[in-house]
Amino acid sequence: MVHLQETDLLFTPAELEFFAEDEEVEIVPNFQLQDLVNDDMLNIAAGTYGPFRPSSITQVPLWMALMLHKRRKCRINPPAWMAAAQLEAVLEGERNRPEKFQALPFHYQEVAHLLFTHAKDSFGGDLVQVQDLVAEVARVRRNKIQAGLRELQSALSAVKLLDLGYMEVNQIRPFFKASLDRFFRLLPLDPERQEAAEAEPTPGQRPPPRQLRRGT
Amino acid sequence: MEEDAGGAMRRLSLSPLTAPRNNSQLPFTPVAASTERERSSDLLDLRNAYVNEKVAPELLDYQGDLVTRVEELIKHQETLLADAEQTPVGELVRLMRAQSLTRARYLLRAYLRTRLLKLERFCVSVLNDPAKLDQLSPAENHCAQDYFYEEGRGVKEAVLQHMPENFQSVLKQHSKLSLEKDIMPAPNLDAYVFVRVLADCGQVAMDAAGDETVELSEGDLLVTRYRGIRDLLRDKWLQLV
Repeated sequence: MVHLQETDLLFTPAELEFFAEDEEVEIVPNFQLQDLVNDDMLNIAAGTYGPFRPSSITQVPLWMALMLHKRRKCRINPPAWMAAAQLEAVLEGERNRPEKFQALPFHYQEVAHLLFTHAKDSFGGDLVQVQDLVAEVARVRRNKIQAGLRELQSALSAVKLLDLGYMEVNQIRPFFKASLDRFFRLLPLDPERQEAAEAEPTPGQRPPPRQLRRGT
Repeated sequence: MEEDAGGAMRRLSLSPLTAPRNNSQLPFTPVAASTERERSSDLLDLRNAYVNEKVAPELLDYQGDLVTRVEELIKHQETLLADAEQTPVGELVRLMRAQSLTRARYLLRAYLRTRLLKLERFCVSVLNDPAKLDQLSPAENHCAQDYFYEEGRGVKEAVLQHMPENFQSVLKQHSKLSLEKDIMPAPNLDAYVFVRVLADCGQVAMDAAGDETVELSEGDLLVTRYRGIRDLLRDKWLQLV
């Protein structure tokens, strides 16, 4: 039997893509699905999708869009947030507001990567520009995250993360866990904290230092 | 098969992330479906259950009903797959159905497998705790006991029987000096986990003394100690990420 490793509790990049593939995108099919039993809708494990008619837009999960696209059965419309102008605005926002992250879809990096790899023609002439913009946005955000991580100096009960993407969350997960866990374990040894506990002013007699119980 | 009273939300979850758009039809009943697309809420729930299980340091409640529903969904889709038409479009349908099935099966396997891995690691502490045992499925319960027995036997034969007399126990460091079973790997409930808040919780105490509180609002993403949010997770106020 193989014992549980630390890495078993992390998500692999393939798994992150798997989750991202559930995101819905617009497609324009070039075939017609006729199914009287199901009202011309496609009824599969993931749910009910359709209708599929030539030259009319329908929303499907990304995995399905890519599958159909591979067989030249549809055209994929890039999501609205991936328009060059939109991304430029996001990049501008990231640069001008270093204290916050711009709102982007949770799986923005995975979706972008999948589309760039398997559906390049969806972007037309804008492909290179959009690729560059996404890469630049990711880079600026990564720098912001690094800067934020450097500020971690002590055990904190909670750290609020603003609008991070899932890929970014998973990139910092091992570091965050390790450092925060370590800070927490060192807490009982922190002399400042022990002094503060002892020096609590109360009316009347001084209570004994509070014993902090830690779990085993 | 669970039945819905026309449109009622069947989930405890308050989550906008897991609530399906149109809840009036189970996705796998072959009667005329609505002409709106509709995601399978069961698969979304399974995905959330899997992520929870993967991130949480301890074994969580077994989602028996959910697993049963997903198994039935898979079985139903497999029968539909067998009836595929032999036309070009029929071939496409078959492909998409097969792929969706593969994804569903993967999720189910991943969920069960993650639980088994945690069970193996914390076998003794789970078997020792009646509350924990209740959280297992019957199959997992059986598996845990078998695993403990087999592993114990293997360790005894290979190593322990050759050790000095007082050090031959699987569960105690020293047969005479240890007052209780002290070789019991237990999950680290103070591990830090990433959390997505599903509904406003107000101020929540993060430690037993109630000194440190955090405001949890819907949509927040944060990193915090598992112990502080354990109950909130169980009651579906938040989702691990």
